[in-house]
Amino acid sequence: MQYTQIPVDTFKNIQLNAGIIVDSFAPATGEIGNLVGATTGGINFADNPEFVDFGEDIDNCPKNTMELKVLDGRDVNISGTFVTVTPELAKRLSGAADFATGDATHIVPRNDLSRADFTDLWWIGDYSDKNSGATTAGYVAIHMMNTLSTGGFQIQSTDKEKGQFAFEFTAHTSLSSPTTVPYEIFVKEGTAQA
Amino acid sequence: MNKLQTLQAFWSGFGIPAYDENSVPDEAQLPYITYDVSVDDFGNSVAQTASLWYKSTSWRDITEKEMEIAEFVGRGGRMIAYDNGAMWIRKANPWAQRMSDSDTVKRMILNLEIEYLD
Repeated sequence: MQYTQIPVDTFKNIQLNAGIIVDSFAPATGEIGNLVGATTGGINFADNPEFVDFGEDIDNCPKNTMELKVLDGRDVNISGTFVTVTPELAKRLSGAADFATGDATHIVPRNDLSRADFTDLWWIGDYSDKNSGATTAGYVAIHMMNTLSTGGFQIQSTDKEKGQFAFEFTAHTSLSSPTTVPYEIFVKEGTAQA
Repeated sequence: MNKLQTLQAFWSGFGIPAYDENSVPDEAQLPYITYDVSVDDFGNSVAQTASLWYKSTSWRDITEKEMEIAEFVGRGGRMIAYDNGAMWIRKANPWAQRMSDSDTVKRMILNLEIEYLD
């Protein structure tokens, strides 16, 4: 069948496995920072653009006219479920929270936000047919800027099962750079290990 | 190499002979690996089993070999290229099972899942 085909290099362009969430990543070297936690069920990242159709209330104007379409904003978030928790992760999941003075095991939520509650996160997943080696592995990486836990701290315990911590982090634009979309994507094919 | 040659090369890469389980020569000497062969097209995963065979009264050597293979495959699997494609080899559940065929021959079955990407 003529139209039942796949690209010949498909196997070089497939993202594999669930990936990881880390607090830093250097795309040039492949050096990863600290893993935020272990997840289950995969991870969902979504950039949900919001559009305004300036022509929708104009008589005789077709719906979705490209010249009158305006990008109004983006809702950028990542969600999933952790199956591990540490004091640092619990604080991060609480969003607006601090450690109690002198006690890094005691997390105290706040009712107001501080700039320190917004931190960058990276999602990194295996990519391409060459995906081994600290500096040679292919990857798809998403850098999310100024993320805040907008899903709040949640725990779902179950009899005879591991506790689960659903999460949702939302990336934020900063007034210091209002035109910067708060995420960027890196797609790099791997290279052969020496 | 085609996908079948690549599969043979994969199993032969662990320092002991490897044979298609239907083609083990009569003169083959333990230890060796036997593996079944099933292939498919893009998007389909196929189950594969392999067996480690060691002549020993101890499980030590065969377990070390199992651990060597497990480390090579890794938690996320191992992608191995062949002509015009690649196979994604992953550990299946359970990964390894000990079988007791006799007191002097040790066998360990390895369960894998292979997705052919071509």
